[in-house]
Amino acid sequence: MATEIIMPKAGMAMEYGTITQWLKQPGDYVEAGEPLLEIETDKVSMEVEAETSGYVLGILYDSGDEVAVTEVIGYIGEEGEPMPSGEPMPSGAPSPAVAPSTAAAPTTAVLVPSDGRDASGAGGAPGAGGAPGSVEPAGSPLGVSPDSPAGPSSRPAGTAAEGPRSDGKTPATPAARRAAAAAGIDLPDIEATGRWGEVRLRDVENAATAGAKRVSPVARRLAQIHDVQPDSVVGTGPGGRVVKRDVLGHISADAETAVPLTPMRKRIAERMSKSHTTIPSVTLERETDVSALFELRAELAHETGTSLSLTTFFLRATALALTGAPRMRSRIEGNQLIERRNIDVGVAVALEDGLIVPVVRDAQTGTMGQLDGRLKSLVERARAGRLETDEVQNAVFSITNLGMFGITAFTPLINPPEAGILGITAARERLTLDDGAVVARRVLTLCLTIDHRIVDGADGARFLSDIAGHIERPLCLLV
Amino acid sequence: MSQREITYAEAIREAMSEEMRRDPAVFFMGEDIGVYGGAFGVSVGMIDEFGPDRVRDTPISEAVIVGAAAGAAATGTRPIAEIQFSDFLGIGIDQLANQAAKMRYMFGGNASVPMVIRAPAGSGTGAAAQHSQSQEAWYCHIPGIKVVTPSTPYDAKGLLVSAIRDNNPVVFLEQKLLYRQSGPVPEGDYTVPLCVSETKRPGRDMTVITWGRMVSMVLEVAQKLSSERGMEIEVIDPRTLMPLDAGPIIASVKRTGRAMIVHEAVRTAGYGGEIAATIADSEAFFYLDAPIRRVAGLDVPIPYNPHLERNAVPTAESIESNILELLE
Repeated sequence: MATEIIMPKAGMAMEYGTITQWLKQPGDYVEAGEPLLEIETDKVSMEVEAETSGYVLGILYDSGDEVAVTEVIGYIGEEGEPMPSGEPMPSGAPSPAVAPSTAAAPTTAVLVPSDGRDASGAGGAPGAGGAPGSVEPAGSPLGVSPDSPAGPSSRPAGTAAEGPRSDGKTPATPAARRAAAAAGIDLPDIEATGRWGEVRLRDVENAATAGAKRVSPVARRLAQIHDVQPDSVVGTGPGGRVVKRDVLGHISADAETAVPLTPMRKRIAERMSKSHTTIPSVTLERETDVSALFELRAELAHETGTSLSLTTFFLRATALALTGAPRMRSRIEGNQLIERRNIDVGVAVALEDGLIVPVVRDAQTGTMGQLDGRLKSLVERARAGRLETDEVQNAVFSITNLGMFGITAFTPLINPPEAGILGITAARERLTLDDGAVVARRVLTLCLTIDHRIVDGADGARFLSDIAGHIERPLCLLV
Repeated sequence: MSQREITYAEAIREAMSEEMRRDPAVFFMGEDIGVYGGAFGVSVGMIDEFGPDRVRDTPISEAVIVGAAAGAAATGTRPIAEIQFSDFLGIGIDQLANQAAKMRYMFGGNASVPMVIRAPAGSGTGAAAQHSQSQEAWYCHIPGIKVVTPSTPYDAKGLLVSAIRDNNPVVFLEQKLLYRQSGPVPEGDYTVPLCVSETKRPGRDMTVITWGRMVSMVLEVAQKLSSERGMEIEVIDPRTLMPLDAGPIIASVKRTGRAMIVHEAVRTAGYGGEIAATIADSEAFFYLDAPIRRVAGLDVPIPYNPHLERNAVPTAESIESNILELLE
């Protein structure tokens, strides 16, 4: 009995998942709990484990395919078992016993349903309808069945239910065979739509139009959108199947490249549009002296041998400021302000394509070393695409650091429904007068964007000063 | 030539009368064909015009009728012999198969047997098992005779004229249920050639080969499917079953990719099997996009019960469902 493999629902908001890679192929044995495939949602990448042990009977979607949650994407079952949907067993996989007699007797080899898709439909097999009408005298005067002896009942019983094509002979009409041969298409590669599971002429014509190749649904749709003939695309999927990346690669060969949005890019686009269009935001900039911070950090590195990330200091400074700024922890819901007590701070992490904001829970707690460790672990896993869904949800406030790119000021966009976001920029040296003496200081600009519906300018300024105060007197961050 | 509508029976009577007027060698014999006018009234009034020498009532002996016709034909006349029901022709089969059909061959071409046996066939009249059969396949199995199955008054007259003028034995199987059906038949002399199939309706989706009473039934179904579903069924009536004009059938199946044979006769060893094999054995095979389907009578004697009788042979419903199945 085959077990369905479904697209898991990895978070409440997850509606679709994209298969990034199958770790097992049809015919492979998999243990329950063993990773079976990798999927990607708009938030995370994750491995899907096999829920049961058995052989992968077949795969219904290829890597690159986007599939709705809970939809069946494959089957696990006994060795050689046919897929319940009636899809043929992939080549190379063991097949059930062959019934050579079905092909041997010319009178009986008409068209045998190849795949067991409708074993009960044997009554509708060719010839059965040849008797006139639906009315068959219940008992004919001579006791002779209208269909005997030459009728379809002489077909070997059970041929209809024998499952996957196993004798290397694909049922097809002569017209389909002729057309397939002319087009140079292999019959098993053609999707059969005949009444008895046979390949018909129309199927060959469809296959010829589609490039005689197996093309994944997503690739076919992409090809259609971009006016690409799938048969001009080299397939790199299993068995030469044309998959999404093939069509994309084909398109990018032209001057202009159209690339469909990844789930993450879609999500970013949605959220940033929402932020920009629905939040009346104000960005406050404040120059902050980080000389003491840099000295402390160097000293700590020297004394302990561990180098704390600069972001960790800003994270802690922000967390401490947040404890005293309930408005910065609030969101608007209808006519209410909802104040959150947890100091859960998101930290934006740039990825190769996109960004993700893992959340440091209760960022005011723990030692700086512990906080730094938690942050680094999140960043590492974010870059590897291995964050859990709950690690990217429910921040009350976020910080983002563009300092490493030499950016001196910017206006970060709030990640809704948060009330604000702190932008950190590049530190630079500056000559200043200190009690009449010219001294060199390190400064950087902190950029705080606030949701003016929730936070007023003065409140935002106080919050920012608070952060700056912690940064400029960094020792207090350590306690 | 002006067109008018006459019945199938009238068309046959006209063909016989006109040929008897044209050729004094043609004469007509059978059971109760004279004063009585024949079991189905086909020859009503003929005895008044041609007299009892040329419209001859015979004893109730089909062996005599067929044997006398064969002898008369071999010796210079052109007899038309009526068998009251085609079911009774079995009594005359020896004369037909072993004499009439063989003479030209066994006498090295020095004898010809220009005779026509007319016999009404088919079910639907409540005449039960011994008066309702469709036995065309029996005669198709005898080399040396031609088998004709007209489906319209026009074809009945034109084919019968051709049959009377043919120098070989012809079994002319009429359809009891068609006798009273009318259709356009031109005034005056015309013929429909033997051994020429006719496409009764052009179509692109499927070829249905049928004859006799089934032709009008198939045409009705084809019309319905065309208007209701846009399916275009090509209908071919071979008109002469033996020898078969297979060329148009094969050409048609090559175009449509689907073939169905509809006949009233029982399916097993029926002539539909011969046509199916002819198609499968031709280049049309490579164009087939569905199995060749036979829609035929059940392998049972025709029942007396009218409901059972109706359903022992193809009906419009069964023809339609079979067409739809192949076109699915």
